Amino acid sequence: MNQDTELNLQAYLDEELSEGEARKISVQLKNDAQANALIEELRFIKVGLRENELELKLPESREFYWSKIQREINRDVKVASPRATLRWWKPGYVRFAGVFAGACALLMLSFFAFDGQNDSRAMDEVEGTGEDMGSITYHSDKENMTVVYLFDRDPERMIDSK
Amino acid sequence: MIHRRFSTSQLLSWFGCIVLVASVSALKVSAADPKLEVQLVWGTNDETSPDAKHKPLEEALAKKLGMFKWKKYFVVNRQEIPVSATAQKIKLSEKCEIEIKNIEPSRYEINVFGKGKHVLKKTGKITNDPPFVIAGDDKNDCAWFILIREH
Repeated sequence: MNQDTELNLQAYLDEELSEGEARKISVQLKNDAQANALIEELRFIKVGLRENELELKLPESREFYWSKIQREINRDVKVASPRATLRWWKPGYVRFAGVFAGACALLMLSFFAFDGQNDSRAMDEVEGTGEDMGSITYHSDKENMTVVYLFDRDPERMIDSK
Repeated sequence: MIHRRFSTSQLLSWFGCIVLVASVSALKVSAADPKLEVQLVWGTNDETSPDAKHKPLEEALAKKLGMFKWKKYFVVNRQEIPVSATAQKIKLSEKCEIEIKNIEPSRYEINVFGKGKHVLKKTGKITNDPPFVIAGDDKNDCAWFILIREH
């Protein structure tokens, strides 16, 4: 039995094949003892995994747990990616500069045409952290509560509150 | 041309009205000055706080912090402060300070300082319930929380 057949059997078990392909495999299974043995083994593993997988209970809320993972991913990405050199004269960047200039012009126009002081939501987006600090803002639907969680970009150096 | 003359009593009545309106306005402004409750809270999995002065956080608030992994929350500092449009700095601990400014009803600008260094600026709505929470990791797998709510 070659690898393709093995993969087809796996796909058959996972109901990922088209009707025609599934029919072919059904016929093959009636005549091929080796294929039959393999699909039984795969079925056994599938059931075993589904029924015996350990359930892990999180020590904190789901949103907070995932926000921590997101924070670690973001930190790793920043560490892994080398600092890109901005070659502004390249055609792509020139196009980007055009779009940026247009956006700035629109922003300036809207700034002069609209008095933001009357808009109570205008300040909502103002948020900033110091250079060394990062923050995650998340909202707990259960408690209807917003939490801004601060973290030091350098894990060795933490804010000591006391 | 017609000149109208006001009698002394009329002038006094007008003056009284102006004073009354001014007093009511001043009263209204001072009544509108909101009061905020700010608490610095320490989250830990230890049963007791190493500092005997720290009191357990009120149950309703501790329950709200149940989304975090820490089992116990202790109040390190609690202050009730009237907040005006002028920025006001509040020292919560040796290393933690916040600056609060009232922008418009129920909207505040908050700046957090750690060891004198600016670490966060946040502007938004603060109500009595739920509180607005700023938090961060502390040493020894503990955490600090600043809970702010209108009083």
